[in-house]
Amino acid sequence: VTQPDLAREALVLATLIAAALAAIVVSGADVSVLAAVPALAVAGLAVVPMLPPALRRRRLELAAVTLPLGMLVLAVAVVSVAALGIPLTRVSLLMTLAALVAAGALAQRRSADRPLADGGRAQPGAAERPLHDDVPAQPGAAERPLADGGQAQPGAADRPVGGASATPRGADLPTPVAAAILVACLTLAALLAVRASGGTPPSGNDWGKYLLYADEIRRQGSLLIDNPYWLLGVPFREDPAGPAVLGSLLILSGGATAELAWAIVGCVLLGLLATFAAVSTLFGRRAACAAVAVLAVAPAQADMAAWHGLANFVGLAFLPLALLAVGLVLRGDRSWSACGLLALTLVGIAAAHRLTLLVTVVTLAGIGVVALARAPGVMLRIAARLAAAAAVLGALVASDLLRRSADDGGVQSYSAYLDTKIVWSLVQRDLSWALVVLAAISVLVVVRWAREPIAWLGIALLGAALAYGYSWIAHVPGFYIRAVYFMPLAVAFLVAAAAWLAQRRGGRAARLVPAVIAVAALAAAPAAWGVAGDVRNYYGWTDDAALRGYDLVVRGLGPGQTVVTDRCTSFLAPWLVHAPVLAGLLPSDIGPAAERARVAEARAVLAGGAAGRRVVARRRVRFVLINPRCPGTEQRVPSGGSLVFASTHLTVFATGSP
Amino acid sequence: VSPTPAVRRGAVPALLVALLVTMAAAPLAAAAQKPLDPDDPDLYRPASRRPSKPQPSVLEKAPAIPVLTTRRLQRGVVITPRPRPTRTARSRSERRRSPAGRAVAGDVGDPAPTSGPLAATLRPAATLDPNAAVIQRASGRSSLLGLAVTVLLPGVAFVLWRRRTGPRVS
Repeated sequence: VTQPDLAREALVLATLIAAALAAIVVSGADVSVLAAVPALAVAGLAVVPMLPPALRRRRLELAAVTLPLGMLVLAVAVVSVAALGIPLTRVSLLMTLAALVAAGALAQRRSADRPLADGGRAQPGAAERPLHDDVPAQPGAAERPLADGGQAQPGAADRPVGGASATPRGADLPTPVAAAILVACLTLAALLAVRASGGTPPSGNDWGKYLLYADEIRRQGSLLIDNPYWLLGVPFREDPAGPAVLGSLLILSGGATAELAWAIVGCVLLGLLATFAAVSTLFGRRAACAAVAVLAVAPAQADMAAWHGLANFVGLAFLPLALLAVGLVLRGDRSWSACGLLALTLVGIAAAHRLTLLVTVVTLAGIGVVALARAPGVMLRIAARLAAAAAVLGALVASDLLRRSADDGGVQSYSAYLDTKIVWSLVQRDLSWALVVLAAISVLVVVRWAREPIAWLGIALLGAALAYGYSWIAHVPGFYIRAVYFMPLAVAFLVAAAAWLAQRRGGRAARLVPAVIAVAALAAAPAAWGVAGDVRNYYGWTDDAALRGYDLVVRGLGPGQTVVTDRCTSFLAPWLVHAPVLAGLLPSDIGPAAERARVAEARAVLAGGAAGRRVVARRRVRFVLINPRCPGTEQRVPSGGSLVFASTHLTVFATGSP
Repeated sequence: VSPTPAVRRGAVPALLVALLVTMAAAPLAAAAQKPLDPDDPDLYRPASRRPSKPQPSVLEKAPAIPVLTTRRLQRGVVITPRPRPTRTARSRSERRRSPAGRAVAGDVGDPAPTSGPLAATLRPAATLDPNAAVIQRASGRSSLLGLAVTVLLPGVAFVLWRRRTGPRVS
């Protein structure tokens, strides 16, 4: 059987792009950040020879996974390089990319020496997958036994614990059709994300801290650095993966930092691409198209884009790859490449977003318990490989995370977050009725028809999200309402599994289920469009006029003077004003407990009174910034403050402090 | 364990009907509800956690803030205190007092109001330098020419390489 040598092609393309990036660097030109984005493709293409065979066999899936995988690989690589103490410069980043390509070439050479991966042993799932684009799976695949029934039998190590892996006849759409649907979904998702967050300036508050961190990475050439402005100067404690990649793109391109405000739209799209590649590899292209359609029209995506949840989006772009690796393992791929992919994604998620890591671990634990009960010996061997791979790939990332959180004071009590409990009316709004009903139907279908753990990935993720949402019962601290942001991906995997099961059963179900999914996606799209407009208005916390106000503050600040903000201008002021800031966050807005004391000082100023006046004098507070539309707190005029700027999105009070 | 034939026959159509009915009912239910106000700061707060009465913003509370129209606020206003009002300006300010006795701001740029805590000059924010660093931090742009180097050139080179070598198989 022959197949295009996609790994070789990937390496050639990676080399060409890396050479082009090197040309930019050698010329010394400063170009748009967009011009450096192909660095992600270099990192993704470089590791193609190391990917599990099921993922690198088809061109469309490989194309879809390249950018999210590249972001994952580049993030882990840059965090590791910085943890070694190597300065992040154009040269060191180019060398990192070159090292990745060289590692890929080495793996390709070894793979060429041994045509079958994993020591020459045939992959259990390999024969069940189409080897070329558009080639249907083998006839009769749907009739294969679904699971090993938990019986310990001779040779069980080579049998899938997750059940049959075959995609039924006709389940795979032709490449042009699948590509067209994928592009349509990407376009729709991009439109929704731009509507919710795009523009100049973008909506939300968090973009300020991401731009500031990336800019400081470029300026200081490292990741473990101090934020000179936040709370009068503290270490950057953000999850490093997203800022590491954004900072690298800035360094490579020399472009304007403000361009990174559009990165949120790119991260939305990375999540869709990763989901398509993962679901298509596990369940086939029909299911993948259904999954990305659901994900594209989920209003929660627009909600998160509007407040600029970049780290969450990065984590959600890596999560499908973890589910893919788990699915491949459950299907019977026990190779180092599958275990390595799972380890790499877990390391990447740990670097990207701690909450996503928590939800991922709970999801995998749920699936792992089932798999362990079915084939304990096999699962223990896989766990050992996973631990070894994670230790090698994640040691430097773990070092970064430990040093980053060394003096953060831990987390607050769960009681600080009780006002963030899940509200089901908001969950319904963030999912839309159509997707809620579709999810319910999919749960019924999976529970009724699925006997293999691989089909339960979506239910496991949904369960993990709900467990996090209600973890306040066990006094676990967290921003509980954010559980809803994992639900669209869970519903996407649920719908995909339902589509896969229906397709496998054939008959009327095979015809009706895709129609139901299409109708639901079409019904959800208008709701998502409406929500995108609403959240843009709600989180639109600055505008052109307000920027003039920030400009006024910059002109009026003297050396050593500080600024106090409310919660809606908290992350904007450090970036826009470039001055020390005391931010009046709500308790539930605070992550590291070490920040509570200085936040309390800011809140004292915002509340007025003698305590506030003492803080103004001690900290030399010159201006107080309050967004008149800011929700969540009662707004008061700072003691002794005189209004020097007023607009719909910003008021600036001068304190008269020297 | 596979479902019974009856379930197999009826489950999916029943679920489809349920989905369609729900989708039809959802817009009707939404239409019957009070329309959402996108300017409502409590839009995304559950009703149980909303304050019992509307919370005035800091703009309504500030004692030294002249009455500013929504249009002026949308454009932004720089307020400069004027500690020494002139006689002419004071009389103009007095002429502009409303029947309720509250000072009313004149056109943006006018030296009014001029006495007591309301003494200020209003200036459109647009008169500030538009090329300041803060604007650059919010909306800076760079040349897109680099895209041609990092995307187009490698793409063209890759296509040429494939044409020359042909698709290799393994």
